[in-house]
Amino acid sequence: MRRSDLLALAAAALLVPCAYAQTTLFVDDSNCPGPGTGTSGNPFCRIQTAYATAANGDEIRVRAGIYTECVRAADSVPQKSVRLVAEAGPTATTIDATGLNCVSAGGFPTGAVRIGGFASSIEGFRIIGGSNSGLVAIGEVTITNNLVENNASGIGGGLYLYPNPCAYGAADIVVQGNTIRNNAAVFRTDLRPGIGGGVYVRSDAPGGTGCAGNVTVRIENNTIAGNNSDASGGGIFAFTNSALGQTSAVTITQNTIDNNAALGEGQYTNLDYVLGFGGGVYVSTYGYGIETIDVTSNQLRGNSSRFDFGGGVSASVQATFPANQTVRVQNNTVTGNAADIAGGGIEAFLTTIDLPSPQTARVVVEGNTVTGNTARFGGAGVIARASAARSASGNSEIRLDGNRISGNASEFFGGGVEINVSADSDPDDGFGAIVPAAMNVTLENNRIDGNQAIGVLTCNGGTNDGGFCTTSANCPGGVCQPDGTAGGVFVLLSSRGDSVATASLQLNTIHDNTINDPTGVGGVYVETETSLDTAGTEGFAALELSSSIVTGNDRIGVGGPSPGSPGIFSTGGTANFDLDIQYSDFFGNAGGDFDTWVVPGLANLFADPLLNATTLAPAACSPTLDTADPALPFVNEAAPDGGRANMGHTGGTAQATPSLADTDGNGIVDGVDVVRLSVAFNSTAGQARYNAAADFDSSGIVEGPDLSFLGADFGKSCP
Amino acid sequence: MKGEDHEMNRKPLHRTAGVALLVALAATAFACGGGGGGNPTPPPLNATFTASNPTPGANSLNMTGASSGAMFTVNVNVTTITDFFGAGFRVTFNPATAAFNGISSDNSILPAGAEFRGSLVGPGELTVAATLKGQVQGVTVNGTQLLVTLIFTATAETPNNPFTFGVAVDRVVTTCPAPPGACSDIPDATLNWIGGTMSASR
Repeated sequence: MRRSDLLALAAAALLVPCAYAQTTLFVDDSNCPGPGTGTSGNPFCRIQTAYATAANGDEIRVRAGIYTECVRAADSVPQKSVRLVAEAGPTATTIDATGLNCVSAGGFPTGAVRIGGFASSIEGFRIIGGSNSGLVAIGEVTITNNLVENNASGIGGGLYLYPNPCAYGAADIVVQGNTIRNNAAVFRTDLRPGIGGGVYVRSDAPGGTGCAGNVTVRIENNTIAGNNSDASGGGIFAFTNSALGQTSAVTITQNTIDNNAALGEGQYTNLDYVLGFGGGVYVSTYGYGIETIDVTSNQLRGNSSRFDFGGGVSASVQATFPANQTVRVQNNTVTGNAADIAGGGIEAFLTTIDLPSPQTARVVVEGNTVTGNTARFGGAGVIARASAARSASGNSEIRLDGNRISGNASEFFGGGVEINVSADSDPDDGFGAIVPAAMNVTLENNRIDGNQAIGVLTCNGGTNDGGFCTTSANCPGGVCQPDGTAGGVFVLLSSRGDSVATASLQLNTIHDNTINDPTGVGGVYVETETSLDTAGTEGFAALELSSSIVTGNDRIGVGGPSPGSPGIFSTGGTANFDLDIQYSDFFGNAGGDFDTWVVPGLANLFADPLLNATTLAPAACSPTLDTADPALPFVNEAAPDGGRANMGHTGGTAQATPSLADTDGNGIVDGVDVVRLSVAFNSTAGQARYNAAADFDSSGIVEGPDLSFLGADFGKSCP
Repeated sequence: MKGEDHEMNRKPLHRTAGVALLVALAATAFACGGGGGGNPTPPPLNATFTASNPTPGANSLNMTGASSGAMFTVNVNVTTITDFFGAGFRVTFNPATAAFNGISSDNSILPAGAEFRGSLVGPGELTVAATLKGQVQGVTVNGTQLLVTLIFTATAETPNNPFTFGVAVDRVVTTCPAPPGACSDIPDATLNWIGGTMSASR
């Protein structure tokens, strides 16, 4: 070795932080009754004995066997940082706490395994029979490749995860590659609420002396199946709750989350109300800090919320001053889930109370595939519920962007999507302050098709008007028929006092949704209630339907009760409502494009959008190309982008149907276009010969690629 | 068959290639005249293209022609235009008796680097562009000069297959002064678009 290498090695050694001197301890139940000395040749009989012996930084290697015991690394404070490894993996190494009352050093109930500390890990075990969770992890912990099954608890049947910055500072928990199945979170009268059947995550950063660390929890690439919770979070229950200036985050990604259930209030006869949100996943932020939860790229199938909302996912932000909270549900596949009330696939919930601008409170549901979900009442695919009380923050909204919401079914309304928006400047009815409030839900670039509001057989007229029926014989003087409202999108806007409740629906394709009620709305249903506060100020509601394709829906395209008339949830109110329908295409809606009171606005089309049967993208000659609101961005569209976004769910995106390389917009790419482009060739924006219509890729210069686009289209035409 | 299948986004034929094509097609036409058997082969077609006005005035685009057997060419010429930058136009004809084969830039008044394109946009409807490209000044055309050559084949006998330049909205002639001056279109009403007639017989 050269001298320089030796010096470098020495320098590197000096840079290595002080580390624990690692000892490897061995455990083997074939050496029982032991107790053994922990060496490879004379291993301990019990894992707990190894834990009691281990020092920080040690590794405990457990050989194949069944270990009937409680494993408690928590018997030291702070907990020891130890690596716990099952050499033969979960099929051959079981920690079985069945019938054992596992308690921590302080006598508190705890899991079959309790680990923690500043750098602990557990790998490769099967953990069963815990009556106070299968595995409790507190501190900086990594949990990999375990099988956690048939455990129960009041909180976190399978896993209970708590970074606890007050004990361990900035702490992260990673849960990776595990199977967590058939665990249960059971309601207990000792105020254990029965949440988190598979996994419970408490990601709070309370701040203050000794608790200043920020925390993260990452749950990745696990299988979480067949777990139940008596209350919310059948598969996973996770929340953040941080102090001002503190940061806490949870990431749930690339997991398979199947057949979990949040059982909800229906489990009890002695309780008035037990929440049962989020059959697959329930996540919520509700502190004062900077809090983020991401639920991304998971597969959620067959989960159910019985008696409540969010069969697949329930995502909640509950923000009050001075919160900055964001929950994102992105790129998940959500299929075949069910909710007894609403949000069979996904529930997005946002409530702000006294949250001023510029604080952020957002729920983003983006890029998900939501298919084949059901809900008893509404929002079989997705429900977005947003409310503002004395909160006018411009950064508060629910966004539903770029989702495919197809083939979902509800009994009453919102077969595809249900949107409820409310804003109230005077929630205390004059007892507290009256402050302007505003709330918005944006629905953008979504494909909403093939959804259905089945409708419940109800008497229409006669002596049993409104009553359920099976045949018209049950409806003397009336007719028994399906009662429902919206096959595609249901919108309810409520505002009171100096407040605004709005919904913005733009760049959506709402196609082939159905409703059995002969008077129902197949496409977009809206009802509103605007009312006065105690100061006599009138609320305002607005719905913008822009740059969308609303076609082929069974029944009416856009409708609902006329403003001021009663609806499903509203009495109608003062009718201070603005419906703005523009730059959209309406075609082939079986009950007509619009209800009688609906007046379409600017630049709408009434022509066949020529949708592809599989993708619902408009064809190259669709009249919906380059006809969206000119104010919308189009730079993400593939060239030639036509200088303007397309209507519909691909409009403004990279999936948008390219326009013809047609400089003069006459529907044919011909010699005139060649001359136009040639004149502008090599010119840049601002020069005399520059022609934006020939700059097909909107690069600011007319050059080779533009000529190529034209060459590819030369001679093509649209009828 | 869709219209796209008829596309012929031909690059300009080089002189040698153009001549070779002419020779090959002519040879084919003659070769097909022979043979024997039960069904006698009809004699070959001979096409002729006649200009409507072979001596046009200024501000004109006109067609003249040449032929060899069934194959014939239509020369599109420009007459006396200052700062001529390019032209885009349609050529309409009866597709029952003529088929479009391609275009040639050989002997064009436009220099190398110019853009020449021709493509069918429908039965008997051809769109053509012949234009300079980029930030350059147009060429001044004195007298009648060749712009582009269109190559056709007669497919059936006809005494009169009219070739025209289409309608005003589908055609343009643009002139450009020295850069960075802006270009302008010559008003269609001040242009003379002069076609011709193809005939074919055996």
